[in-house]
Amino acid sequence: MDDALRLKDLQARRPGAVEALIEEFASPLLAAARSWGLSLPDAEEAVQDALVDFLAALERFEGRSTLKTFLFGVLFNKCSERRRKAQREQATEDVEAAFDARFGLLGIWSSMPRGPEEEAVNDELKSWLSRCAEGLSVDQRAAFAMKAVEGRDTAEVCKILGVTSTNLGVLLFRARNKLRDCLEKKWMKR
Amino acid sequence: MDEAMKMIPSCDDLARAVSDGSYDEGPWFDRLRLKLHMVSCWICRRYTAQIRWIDRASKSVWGEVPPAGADFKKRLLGRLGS
Repeated sequence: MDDALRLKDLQARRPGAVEALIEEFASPLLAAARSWGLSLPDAEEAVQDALVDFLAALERFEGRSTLKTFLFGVLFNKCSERRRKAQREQATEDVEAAFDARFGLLGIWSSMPRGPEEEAVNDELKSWLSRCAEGLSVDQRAAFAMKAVEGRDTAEVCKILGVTSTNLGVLLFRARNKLRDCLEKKWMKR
Repeated sequence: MDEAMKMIPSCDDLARAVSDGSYDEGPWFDRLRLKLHMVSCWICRRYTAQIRWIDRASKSVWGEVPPAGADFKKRLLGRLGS
């Protein structure tokens, strides 16, 4: 549906406008909240809170992004609040230091990157990935999920997260290397 | 990518670019230099294969989420006061 038309309908609370919004976005919003690390009950709460805030904020909507991007941005803020309460993240410096330690003089590898490469994704690896992803901050995880899993456009992801493209690169760098380092440790213990 | 990147990027430069996404989406000349390094460095190819594997594996773990149920949509409608 056209954004201007949807905006008008929602602002006027025309009959069926909210139902149409829920029908179109309940599933993708829930999927996003889950892939950003929330449990199903938390994700459902976050989606509800996000939609309430989204509708309340429509009067102030200035059209600097699409309604969809704006809605996912509100959801991201709600998910961040929830994840912060139960944070179990690794310190960010850990991943930077571990990365730098892999290279010697002139930026050449000093220790071999070990770990899975071409292995079929079985239940064991799925559970490793899920556990390793718990070490990511919500913005690292959301950046990774939107770019690597959903394949979204960089500009859209930047707007949702409220970051520059350089910051998005840093988030992706940290997310991928935290996952890689964690998987490598599990792999070596196998 | 670091503006101080040399004509021939180091392994460190390449690993950063692969994991921050600039290997795929950066300026074409930087990507060309990185690809030239990749051709000659099997350790970087290995690291890159691992990062690509993590992306693919993550898609298979988190890429398919069941749609929202009718019960959840009903609760949403109730909360949004429609």
